Amino acid sequence: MSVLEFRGLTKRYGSVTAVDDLTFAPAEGRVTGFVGANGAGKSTTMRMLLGLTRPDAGSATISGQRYVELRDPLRQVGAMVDPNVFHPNRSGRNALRVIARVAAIGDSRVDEVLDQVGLTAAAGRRVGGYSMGMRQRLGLAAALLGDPATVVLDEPANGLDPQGVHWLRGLIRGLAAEGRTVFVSSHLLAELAQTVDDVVIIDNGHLVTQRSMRELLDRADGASLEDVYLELITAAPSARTTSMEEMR
Amino acid sequence: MKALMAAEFLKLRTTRATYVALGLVLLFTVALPIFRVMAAGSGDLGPVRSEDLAALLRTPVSLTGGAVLLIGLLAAAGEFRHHTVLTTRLAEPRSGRVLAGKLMTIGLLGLAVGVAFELVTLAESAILFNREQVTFEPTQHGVIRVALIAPLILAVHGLFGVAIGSLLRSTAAAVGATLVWAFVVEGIIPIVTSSPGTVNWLPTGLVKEILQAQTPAGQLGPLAAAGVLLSYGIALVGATVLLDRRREL
Repeated sequence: MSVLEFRGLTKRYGSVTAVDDLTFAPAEGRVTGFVGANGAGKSTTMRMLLGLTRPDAGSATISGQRYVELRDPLRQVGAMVDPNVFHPNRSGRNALRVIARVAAIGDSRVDEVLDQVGLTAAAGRRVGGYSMGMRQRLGLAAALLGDPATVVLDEPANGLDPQGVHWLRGLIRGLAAEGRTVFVSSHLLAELAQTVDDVVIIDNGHLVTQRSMRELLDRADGASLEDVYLELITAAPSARTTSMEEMR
Repeated sequence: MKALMAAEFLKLRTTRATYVALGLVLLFTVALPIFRVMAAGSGDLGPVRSEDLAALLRTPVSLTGGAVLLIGLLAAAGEFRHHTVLTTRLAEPRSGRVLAGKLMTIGLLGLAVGVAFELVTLAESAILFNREQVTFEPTQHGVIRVALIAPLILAVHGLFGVAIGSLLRSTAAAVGATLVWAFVVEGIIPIVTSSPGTVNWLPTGLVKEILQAQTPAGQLGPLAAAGVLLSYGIALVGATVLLDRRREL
């Protein structure tokens, strides 16, 4: 079963094809890592899923619907696409209250998510004075506002210090333990090794593989995950498989 | 729509520019009747008369309208400057509803600001007129007409601000384009076309026509002027909606 589904998704910017006929479906209730080098098309794919970028072909759906068709989307999908999406002169709490208002979410939930991401003490401070890591946490808080069953995170570990990364892993595993579907991107496969159940690797907008993290770890067999990643990317044309084919 | 408007009001309440713009205009609004009384009898200004009340209500409309337009413009274009549009669109992915919520909110703000500033001017004028022993006649000399129309004009200014900000998606471009339009285009068009009457068909001239007590020969009447002004607004909003169907964030 899949909540998120990408079918033949394609996006071109002039002569550059950022995402090329991408088809895969992260499994429901599991944490799926979305891995690729910088510029591989991860963010574009996620933005198309969230209705922020229009695909040239194909579709990206959530429970069979495009994001723009969702009623009350924040309660179905929580997303963090960029940590720099808050007005610098608003406090962290007010930044979240603004988003909560749109979805008719009460202020008590704002305080809950601030606590969940460890920002309660800084909630009254201007976002402009937040560190990158704090803005990432605020972005995660925004994603969790609607208590969604599906969470989409684009490079959430960027800007986090080692303690922050450790905390993030705990948060993601906690979300998965609650039965949520988590789709999280990173350009480092090793960064996701302890967090995700499944991995989708893309390169130059193409799907390279979709498989479980366990399979990749077994394949590593003593080598580093980066070696496995590079091996898959290098062999990409022949290694490309689609999740749909695998599911069949 | 109520949720969207509640969010927009919260954005305004938590943005410093709103207070700065309205504070400066409030200062001007409060100072204007005082200056009028102080300047009475000097230069071309005669002594204060009951008939001046309508003018005291009418004079700040351009500046207050400019402030409301600026607030609307910053509310719309600022979303793109600070990328807050991403969180707004994630919460409400239908861009038309987001634009409608913003238009309604800033329109209501314009109405509220208009009413509030009129009340301030009326209260202050009542005190000053009393001191100058001038009869205070708020129901005479076209005062009611101006009092009813001015808030609507401020609301339209707000709609223009939101439409321009949403259309250009850049604070600097939107402020620059508005200033160029107001001070260059509206000044040049009548000269280029060798037709001074053209100014009556442009937004600034239309606002003046709507507010003035009597329509001089050759000018549009207040209702026709209001219709033309609204057409400009509808054209701007329409262009924004059409472009938003093609543009991405």
